[in-house]
Order: sequence, then structure tokens, then C-alpha cells
Amino acid sequence: MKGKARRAAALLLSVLMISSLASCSQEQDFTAGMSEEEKAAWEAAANDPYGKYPELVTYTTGYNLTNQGSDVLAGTPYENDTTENNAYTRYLKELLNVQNENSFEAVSGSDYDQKVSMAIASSTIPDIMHVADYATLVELVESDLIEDLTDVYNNLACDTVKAAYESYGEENNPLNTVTFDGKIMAIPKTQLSDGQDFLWLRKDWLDKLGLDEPSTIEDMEKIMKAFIEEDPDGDGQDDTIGMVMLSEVYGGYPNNTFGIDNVFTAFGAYPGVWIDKDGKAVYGSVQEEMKEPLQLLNRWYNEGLIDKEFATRTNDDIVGLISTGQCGAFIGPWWAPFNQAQTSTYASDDAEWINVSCPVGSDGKLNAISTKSYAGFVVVRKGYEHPELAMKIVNVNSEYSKQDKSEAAQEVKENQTLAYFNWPLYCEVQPGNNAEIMTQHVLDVMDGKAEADSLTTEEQSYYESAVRYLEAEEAGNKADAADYSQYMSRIVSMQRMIDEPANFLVPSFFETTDSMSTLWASLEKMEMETVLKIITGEQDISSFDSFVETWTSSGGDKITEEVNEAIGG
Amino acid sequence: MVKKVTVGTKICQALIWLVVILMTLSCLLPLVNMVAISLSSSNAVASNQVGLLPVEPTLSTYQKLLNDTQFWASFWISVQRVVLGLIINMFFVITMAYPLSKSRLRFPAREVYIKIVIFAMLFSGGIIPLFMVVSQLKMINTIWALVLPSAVPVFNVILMVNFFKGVPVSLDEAASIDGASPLTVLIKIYLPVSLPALATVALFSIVYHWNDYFSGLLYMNKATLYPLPTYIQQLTVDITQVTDAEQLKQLATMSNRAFNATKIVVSTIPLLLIYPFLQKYFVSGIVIGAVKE
Amino acid sequence: MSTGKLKTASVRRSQKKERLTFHLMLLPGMIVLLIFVFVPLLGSVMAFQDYKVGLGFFRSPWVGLENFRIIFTFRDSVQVFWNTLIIAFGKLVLNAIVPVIFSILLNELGGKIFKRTFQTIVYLPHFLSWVVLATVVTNMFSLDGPINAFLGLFGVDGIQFLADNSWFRTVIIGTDVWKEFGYNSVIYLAALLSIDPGLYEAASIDGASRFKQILHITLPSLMPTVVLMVALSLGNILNAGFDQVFNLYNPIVYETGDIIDTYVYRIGMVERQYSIGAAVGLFKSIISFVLILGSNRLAKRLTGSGIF
Repeated sequence: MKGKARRAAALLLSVLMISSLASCSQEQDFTAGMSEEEKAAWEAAANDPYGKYPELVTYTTGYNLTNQGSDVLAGTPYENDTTENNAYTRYLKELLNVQNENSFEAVSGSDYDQKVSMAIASSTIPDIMHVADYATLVELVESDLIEDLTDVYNNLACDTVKAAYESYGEENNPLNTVTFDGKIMAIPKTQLSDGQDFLWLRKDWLDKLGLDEPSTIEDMEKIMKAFIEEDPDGDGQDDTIGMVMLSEVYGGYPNNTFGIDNVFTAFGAYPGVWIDKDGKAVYGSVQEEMKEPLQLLNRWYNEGLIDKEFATRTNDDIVGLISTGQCGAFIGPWWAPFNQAQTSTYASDDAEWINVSCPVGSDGKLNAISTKSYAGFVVVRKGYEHPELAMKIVNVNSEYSKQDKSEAAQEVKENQTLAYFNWPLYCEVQPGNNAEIMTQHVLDVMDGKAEADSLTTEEQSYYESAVRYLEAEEAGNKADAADYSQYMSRIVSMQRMIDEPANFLVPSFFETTDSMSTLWASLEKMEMETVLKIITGEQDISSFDSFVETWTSSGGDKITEEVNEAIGG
Repeated sequence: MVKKVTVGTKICQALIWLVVILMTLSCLLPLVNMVAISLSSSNAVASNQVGLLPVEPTLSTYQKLLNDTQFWASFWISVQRVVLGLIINMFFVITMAYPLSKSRLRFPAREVYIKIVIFAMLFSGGIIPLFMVVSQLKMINTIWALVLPSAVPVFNVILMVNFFKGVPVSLDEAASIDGASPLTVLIKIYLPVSLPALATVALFSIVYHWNDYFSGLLYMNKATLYPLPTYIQQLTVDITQVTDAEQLKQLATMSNRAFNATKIVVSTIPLLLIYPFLQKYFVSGIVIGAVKE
Repeated sequence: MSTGKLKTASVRRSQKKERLTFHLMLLPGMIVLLIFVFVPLLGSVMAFQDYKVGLGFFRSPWVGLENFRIIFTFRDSVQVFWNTLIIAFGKLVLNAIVPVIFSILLNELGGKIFKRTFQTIVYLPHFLSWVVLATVVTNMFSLDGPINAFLGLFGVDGIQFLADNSWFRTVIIGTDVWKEFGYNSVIYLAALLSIDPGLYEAASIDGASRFKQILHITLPSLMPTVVLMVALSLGNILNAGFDQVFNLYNPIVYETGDIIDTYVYRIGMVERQYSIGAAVGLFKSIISFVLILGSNRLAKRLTGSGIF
């Protein structure tokens, strides 16, 4: 009976599967029927990190769109560019004689990930594609859909790429993540260290109220108090907010502009990440250290120092509060000057923003959390005849294009600021502290210690922005918003990052475990409810203990065990 | 006594006017807000200053829109989709609703069919199997993927069944005895008296095809092939869902709510124009069926 | 009735021919349903699998009812189910009542142009997505928003409607009704216009007040349509509106605002969980199917004719 039903189900299911069988049947040797000479030419191209193919190689791929809209290039010489014919694809074509043909295109994030899933489900994955998450990579490996890239990597990876991976240290090397049974199954895209979050303040307000740059929690409190009580915007109305914050409070360090992780880390609490405690991995959000910052935030909430309505504010709302000059303090990463909250106040309000290392921990330094070392993977379809092409494109992205000063590269450079993500295969491999290294190079040029043509193309575009910004300011004008953002983040804020290093905690685990996939949503819900209710005073701090207890007994203990197993193994 | 009633009636009338006007105004506000945003400077919008009137008014977003080739390309795809989808939907609504509206005596199999139809309204296999079927049929990247999976709008079929049920049987029987075939009866008798109901169902179809963004996202693998709602939706993807630092940096400078509002306003206009046009037929709708049963 | 007795061979033949035509008319529609509904429906087996896209339907491991166990036994499944039911039920009831009242009120007004203009305006919010409307709603209900300003006139302290468990569901239901009442009233307005004016005239002569006429003529005439619409919306009794709740809720109101769909969405965030999604979908469909067939049977018993 059971067997019969199963057989019937299998029969019906096969209706769905016909195409998958058809599509993986024939794979021909493309060199068949070639002369020895031709074969040698192809061979040579395949074994050179930047070798140009004898004939045009067309590869299919998945293309990450940005949600900038098609109009970003309007009015520039590139307005007729397409996803298959733009500065980057033309560059790759000239260099390697390759052309992308997009099997699918979608905006990065969930839209793109869905396209990847659909391609896998219908067994129509493109020759080369980028996958965003680790779980998908594991699935591809387990179902034997992607090519082993061990030889490709060993033969062809350029020095920059190799050195970049090594810069993360043996433990944290991104290649570890993509190695399955000793085989390298993908080329990991590196995640730049985003450094530490800063407290961003309106310097013009500080000056007006005669306040110094803060550093400790107490300093920070004093400033927020002054910001709400002493009418920093000078409109005679009691309408300012001490500090804005995200409704999620923390998490995703440090990518969440307006997240206030730093307030927790100042007390040695590391919410939302797995940390090492006495040689064992534990979840940061359920540790004793959470209590003190939570109590403090509750007091700040009651005293009106932090936004009373933070729980219901959207990102747009928060940006609105800052842009209208209702708030002059928030916590954010080094690139916060790109945020409209800053660019609009710079343009309309003469706001002057500074980033300070605050609130610091007991040793006077900021406590920060490291990000994981990888941010996606490039994989090659099993049976694709030019698997080395993936590596070559990554080489070009990461090394060649940066040093190339030719005419063709000029186009790429110009597009860097216009439509950064138009690379057909967006994967750059860089050392973790690349942003700092680049800034150091630019600073050297600005200080006259180096020549401008020693800069890479990317560095040059930052340098030029800085020069334009300074010229405009000197002439008493407002600089272009893009130049303001580049200068403020790449130069000013980054300099602070170099000068005032933080303590970095490296979380012990980044991925998910089996039980997490079904239990985590429930545990996370419990956590967020408790944290928000304690901050808004709906629950007492004592409820934290019962939360920890329930958390542990509702699966938290099991997950902790699995995490420790995963690390140990 | 009589006078008192009139005063009461007048107060009553005034109250009704008040309530209706208030309700109507409340519905107008968000749209006025969108229009105001679309006409304001992007700085004013970013700082949430725009209420019901434009701040630092400018037509720049509308000028920009005229130059946005993809917007108009998507607009045209949507127009094609609506026309094709409407024709296909109406074909199936009519051909299915008519036999299903017959009594059990005249058409015993209807009881089975109607259960199949209700079942189809409520159950779905999810997106992966549907995608696999559509991709089997080689419809990916074609307009057929946008109109065929939703070719039978089951909800509308049921509405139409109820309407046809209300058409007096005597009309039908008289014609049948004269030797008219069922198709002739449908075309000569049923359709002419059903114009209002058909208009209602047509409106629902048009609205569905004009608004649905998900099919476009799922079945169109090129952004240049997106219908309008998909194009607009991907512009307003939630920034907080983007986790890549590099992307955030870029998006922070690019988010342009004023321009997006313009796109929404412009894409809503066709629906505004079509409704009053169909209202002409709304003298009576599916209801005749229900009322006169 | 009388045809039965007079049934001749030729009548039977023509009846047979008619039925054949009916089958043929239904055929294309049934083929479409077969291809785009019933074949994909086979994919529902993933509700009983630990489905992985890479492994497909054949190689993904079978887990029996495990996915259903997960849905029914997570820590606050009861809470989430109740929230879903309360919100969906509230919407179902008010989305039937408010459009009916609005249609009747609008019908009482004179002036065709006014009527049509009002009608067109109220149908507008239906076309704006919740992503867009969420900003409007948040601003309306914020501490310095118009609603609190209005309540302030009566000395009411500021209420954070969207961060208050005693208000959240009310706001969700209320704003949904506000968004949809115009669109929902399209059908009722059409229904009103089809009522025989003779009935009102007769009632006027009998001295019935306007109110009495509404009570005794208008409402009963609308009832069949209301019943049909309510029965069809029973199919959505476990859909409380993902887009709306997702764009308006926050952790403080999880206990009253978290619904099945938002919960499943958060489960899927950890790792894409197609199987859990399929299990939830299947469960919802079965409940809806039972409810709709049940209401049809009930309607048959009460009024003598079914809904479909």
C-alpha cells in the first residue's frame, strides 16, 4: 500500500522533472575538430591569469542589479549601456575576449536569491554565477551541481587575490569556508572589515553649547541631555531628540546605521553574536553583561534622551528626523556621510558632522565586533568548459583593473562612481583592511608624500573627490553631495579609524545550525520582545533572567550545543 | 409635525453628506501626499517635510521620468499584458461560467466541475513547481508567462456563475425550443443582458494584471522585460534588507523617494481613467443574479 | 417540470447534445487549471519533505508530518494562530459591513456627478501598496501626528498606537478597512442600483420613513451579495494580511500582531524553508476549503440555494 502510493507519487513527480533530465545530458568537448595549433592557443589562454581567448567566449551568468533604477546613467556618455554591454563588460571583452549573456537578472538581495533558487530547482544554473549565502553553496555542493575549482585556483589566482585571502589569518581565511573534503568549490568574495561604529555628532551644535568631544558613556549622556534641553538648533522650541536609534536596537554590526551596538559593547556585552566564553561558544544576547546596558537604556528612555518612538520608526523616519535638524546624534559606520541624513543637512543647514570613538569601554577604546571574512561565492556549473574564466574575471576585478591605466580602464574608472555594481560578476577579493589601506595611499598623496599616479584607479577617484571637495569649500561654496560623502567618509572618518583603533571581538560562529532553521525565529522573537520591553519600561530588568531561562529551555541550549559541535568539528 | 420631519430629514441628509465626504477625504489624503512628494525637491522629501502640499515644488522628477526609457518600456509591456490578459480572462470566464450556471438537472456534471473550480481557487503548489511548469513550457521571458498561469480567474468565474444563474430561465428555454444551440443562446441572450457584470469582472481583471508585480519578478529573467509594477517594486526594495556594506553605501546616495513617488503616481493614472469609463456599465452588476434568484 | 413527462427521443438527443457542448466549453478552462494548478500542486509533497532545491523532489528526504509538527508546536503557536484569526475575522466582518454602509449612504445622496466622483476617489487607496501606505499610517498615528493631536484636544495623553498591544490590532483592522472599503463597495453599489425603484415608491405611499425603507428594502436586497462575498472571503480566514502587518509591526507588539505569515517569513529568513512554507500553505488551503464548502451547505439549508 505504502509502496504503491510512493510509486504513484514518484510517477507524477516525474512530470515535473523532465527538463532537468534533458538539460544535463550532453556535454561536448569544445576542442573536438580543432587543429593542434588552435588547441595550444586555447590551452595557453586557459592557463594564463589574464590570457585572452583566441575566439569570443560567451558565458551565461546571473546578474546582480542595483535598485538605482535605469536612470543613474541618464545624461552621461553611458546612458545607452545595458547589462550586457557596459563599461565593465566591454573591458572584459577587450581584455579576455569574453562576453556575458545573462540567464537572469535581479536586484541583489532576496530577489536575486530567489532567481538562484529557481535556477537550481529547474536545473538551469548559468555557467558562472554569484550566490549570496552559505546554505545555497552547501546545497550546490551536496547536489553535485558545481565544478571543483581547486586546480583553477592553484594555477590561476593572481597574487593580489592569494595575498588578500591570507591577510585574514589562517583561522579566518575565506577559503576555509569553501573547502569541502579538501576541494575548493567556489571563489569566495571577501567582506571588507567595516571597522568600528562611531558616534556621529553635529559639531556645530557641540560648539554652540560649548561641549567637548565625548568619549565615555557619561560624556555621551551629558551631550544628549544638552541636545534636548539647551535648544541646539536655536529655534526656541523644545523639539530636539537626544539620539535616534533603530527599532532593531542592535545586530548586523556594523552595517546597521543607527544601530546602537556600541552602547552594549562598552559594557562588554555582545548581543546578537556567538562569543567565546571560557573556551565555549555562547550566545551574546543571553549573558549577564546585557543587564547593565539595558537598565541604562531604560533610564535614557524614561528621561527622553533616546527617541521615545524608536520602536515604530522606519529608516526613512530616522533619516527625516536628522535631516530636519531635530536630532544631532546617531551611531553609525565610517560611511555614514553617504546617508542622506548627512548630505542634506550639509547642503541646507551648514551642519558639520564629526565621528568620535564613543562610548568607550573600560580601557578607553571602543569595543567592536568583527564581520565574517566572506560575503558571497562565485561558483561554476559542473561541466562548464571554461571553469578558469571565473577565476580570471575575479583576477581582473581585484587586481588588473585597479592598476590598468589604459584608455579602456578609464571608462571603468568613471563608472566606478556612477554605477559601481555594473560588473557582470560582482566579486572583488581584497584584504580585510583594504579601505584603510586605500585611504592611507590617498592621504600620502594629499600630504605630498607620494605621486598621484601611484594610486590605483579606485584610489584616484577618491583622491579627485577629495580635491574637488576642498576646492569648493575653499571657494566658500558647497561641494557636490557625492564629493562631500567621499571626502568625509574616505578621508575624515577613515583617518579617525586609523588613528583610534578599537578592540575587535571575532565572533566564534557566523552560520546556521540544523535546529536554528526551525527554532531561531521563535528565540529571536523572544529576545527582541524582551529587549524592547525592558528599554521602554514595559517590563522590569528582572524579566531578563526569566527570558534567559526560557530561551535556554526552548531550544537555546540545543543550538548552543550544535554551535560548539560545529566549531569543534 | 410635518415641518419637524423635514428638519430631521435635512439634518440627516447633512450628516450623511458629512460622513461620506469625510470618508472620501480620508481616502484622498495618501494620494495627495504622493502627488505632493512627487512634486517636491528630493531634500524636502528625505527630511519628511512633505505633507499635503509640495515643498520646494519642482517638476524635475516628471521631466526625468519622460527620459526614463525603462519606465516607458515597462509601461508598454504592462499595456500589452493587460489587453492580452483581459481577452484571455474574459474568454475563460464566459466559457466556464455559462455551463456552470446551469441547474444540476440540466447539467449533472456541474457539481463535479464546480468543486474542481473551488478547489483550484484555494490550493496552490507554491512558486517552485509553478516556475518549473512555466519553464518546461518555454514561456520564461515571454508575455505568456504573465497571462497564462492566471488565465482562469476562478474568483471571477464564480461571480459570473452567480450572475448567469439569475438570468431568467424562460429566456433560455424559449430559445432552446426554437432550436438555438447553447452557444447561440449564450451569445444572443446571455451576453447582452450581462454587460454590467462583464464590466465588473473586466475591471477586476484589468486591476489584477496592471498591479501584479510578482509574476514579472518570477518569470522575467531580464530587467528590460519587467512589466511596470515589477519595475516599480524593485526600485523600492527595502533598504534595510540589503546586508552588503558596499551596497548600503551606494544606496544611501541613490534612494530617491520623490522620483519613486512620481512613478507610482504616473502608473496609477491609467486605473483612474479606466474606472469612470467602466462605471457606465455599473447600472447593475452580478447582483441581478443574486437578487432575483 | 412538465418536460419530464413529455420527454421524447428527440428531446433526449438534444439534451445530450447540449451537455456535450457544455463539456466542450469547460474543456479549455479545465486544461489550463490542470497545467497551472493541478500539476504544480504535486509539488505540495514538499510539505512532507525536508525539501532542498538542489536535491529536488526525488532526492529530498521524506520527513512525514515533521513540518506540521514544527508549525503546531513552536513556543507561541497558539498566540500566533489567535492573532491571525482575530485580525482576519475583524477584517472579514468590517470589510463586509463598512462597504455596505458606505454604499447605502452614498446612494442616499443626490447628484450623479458627486456620487461618481466620491466612488472613484474611495477606490484609490486599494492601488497603493502597504510599503507606501505604511509611511502615511505611521505618521498619522505617531505621537506628534494628527490623531494624537486630535485626542489631545480632549486631554488624552499621547498614545503610541503602533507600539501598544491594546491598540495594535485595532489599527491594523481599521487601516485595512479604510484601504479596501472603496474597492469592496464597487459590488454593493452596483447591487443597490439594481433594486426595483417600484418597491421604494410603494413604501413611500405607505408612509415608511427613509430609514425604514433602508431597513426593509435595501438591506434585504443586498443580503445575497453580502453572503456571497463573506463566503468567498472565508477562504482568507487564515490570511491576516502579510504586507500590512509586516510593514507596521515591531517587536513590542509581537504578542498581539504576530501572524502566521510574518512568523513563517521569519523562520524562512534563517534559511529558505520551502517545506515549512508549503506545509503552512497546505494547512491553510484545507481549512479554507472546508469552510467554504461548509458555508455553501449552510446557505443551501437556510435559503434553499447554495452560493455557487
